[in-house]
Amino acid sequence: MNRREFLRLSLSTAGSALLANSCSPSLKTPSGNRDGKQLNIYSWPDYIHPEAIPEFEKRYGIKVVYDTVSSNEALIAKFQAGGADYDIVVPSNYAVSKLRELGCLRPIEHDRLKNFGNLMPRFQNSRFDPGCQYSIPYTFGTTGIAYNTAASRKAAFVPTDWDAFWNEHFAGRMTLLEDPREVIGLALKRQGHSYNTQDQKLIQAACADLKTQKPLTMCYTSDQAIIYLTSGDSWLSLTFSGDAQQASRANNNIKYVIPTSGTSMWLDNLCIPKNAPHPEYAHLWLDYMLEPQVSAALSNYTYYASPNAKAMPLIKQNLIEDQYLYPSDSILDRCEEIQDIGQAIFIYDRLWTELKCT
Amino acid sequence: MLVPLVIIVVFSFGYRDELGKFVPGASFANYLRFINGPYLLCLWRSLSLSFSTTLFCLVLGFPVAMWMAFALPKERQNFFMVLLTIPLSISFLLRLYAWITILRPTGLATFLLQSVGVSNPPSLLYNQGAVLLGMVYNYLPYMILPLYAALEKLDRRFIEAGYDLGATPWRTFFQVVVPLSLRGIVAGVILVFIPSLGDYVTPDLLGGAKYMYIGSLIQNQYLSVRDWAFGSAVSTVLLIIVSAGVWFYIKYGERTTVSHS
Repeated sequence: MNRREFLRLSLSTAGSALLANSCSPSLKTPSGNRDGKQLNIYSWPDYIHPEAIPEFEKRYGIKVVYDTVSSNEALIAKFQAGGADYDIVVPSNYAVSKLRELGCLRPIEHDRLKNFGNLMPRFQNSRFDPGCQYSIPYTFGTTGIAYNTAASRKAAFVPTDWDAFWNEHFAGRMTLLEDPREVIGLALKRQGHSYNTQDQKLIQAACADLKTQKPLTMCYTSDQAIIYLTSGDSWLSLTFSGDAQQASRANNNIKYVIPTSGTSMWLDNLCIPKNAPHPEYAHLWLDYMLEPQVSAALSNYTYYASPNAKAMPLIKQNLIEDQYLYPSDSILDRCEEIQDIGQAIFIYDRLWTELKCT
Repeated sequence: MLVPLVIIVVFSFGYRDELGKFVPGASFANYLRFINGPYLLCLWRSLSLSFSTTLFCLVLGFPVAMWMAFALPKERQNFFMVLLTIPLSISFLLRLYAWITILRPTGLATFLLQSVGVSNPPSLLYNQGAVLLGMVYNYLPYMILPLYAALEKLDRRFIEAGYDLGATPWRTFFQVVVPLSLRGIVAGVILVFIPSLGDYVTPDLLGGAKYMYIGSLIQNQYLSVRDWAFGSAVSTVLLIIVSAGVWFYIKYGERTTVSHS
């Protein structure tokens, strides 16, 4: 295990420790002192270049406190408990629209952002937040299949589509994400349906398929996949593009594919909560994150794709050339965003619980 | 102490609106949903896991507590107490991750099995056995400590009297030692059973989240579905079961203690 994975493990542990301590989404406020110039960030573990915070602190004389969140749902729950006291949060696309509907976000003051134009045009006008009124794109990626090429050679089977998760050769060595929308979604996509299906019959059929798949699964996990791929415990994992890339840097045998049936793609965004204590610092942070060097460093470090056009020349060539990290339009056409589906979430939840209970 | 409990009970009669906000109400819909869904199976699984955990802790913990109280000299007893509590000072999560490192397919345990000639070792992690192992490992100290406290105070002359009256060691154990340490047993059982019922981290980490236990169900309702009302209803059901169990257990325990002293 190298330092980077250890860092990730310890961070995710710290993240879950936070979650365990605050089963009722607690009213925990950011750590650190409350007076003086301070910016409180609530983001994902290991989702920033290590030099980015010290550099910002030096330049503006503002102390940065970085707390970690484990899921979009936990983030939303925190807002609903009324306990969020952060200046910057990093929700994914569907969580942005949700937070916005709940009235939790503060409009972005675009005249304070001189670097906004650096973003690629298609990211300046996303479907969930036209005109980036409430959110600034941070990184994007896909959810796909990471597999171990040695195991794949041995089984004489190369995963190209979701069917791989039903392949007996990888029995007991597969991991899926602990996420109902992604897992039920892949079973829906495998049958040619949308990730955002609200038709109960189709969702039921997808879950019936997943029940036959369950005995082959080693575990459902969101934070261990990268570690197990690297160590060789997992031969086939449902994982995020950047995570797969990080695993493949540590273990040459790991390869990532976007399934031919298509998959989910997501965009993580920087947002300012409505009751942020320091909105002016938050805007400084947004503008700083939009700087080409800062955005490129982030992508070079996390392997997640940058939406920043000006950052492209500064990103490592081998990353840009990877068609699964920076997918071509023909691949993107087969992918879709996971959207908020309102009350249909109850169908997913009930069937997910059923899957987990049998 | 009571305020959060009251809030949970009140919440359990409300519902979740379109946006996932909690709306107060006065309906039993959440309770009906609980008894009509896959959720009862989940409750049953949790109860049986907690029951087995408690049983294993008791069976493994009692000999250790007896050995500490009866066989060790006083100063060694204190040393052993410290040994027992050392793991508790390390984060519960780190201890679970340590078990993952040992049990995973490329881990130490599989390697040892292979080196003694088991050609195709079974998978040790992510099954219900691993969950039970982790639970017993986590909660054993909470069983041993109250047992030890009870046994240490036990007047040895009762045991000698048992032998003098011709009882076999087993009979002395069951008719003298066990009844006299019943308070310790009650305390240990409660200290293990109740927290293990709500534990969702151990089943998720060592069971690979393949089986849902009541703790994860509640956590999911609060944090992923954001249906606080249903989460509260499940918590309330659990609360009633646990309180009824403890009340019955203490009442029964007290009576037995009294009749023997």
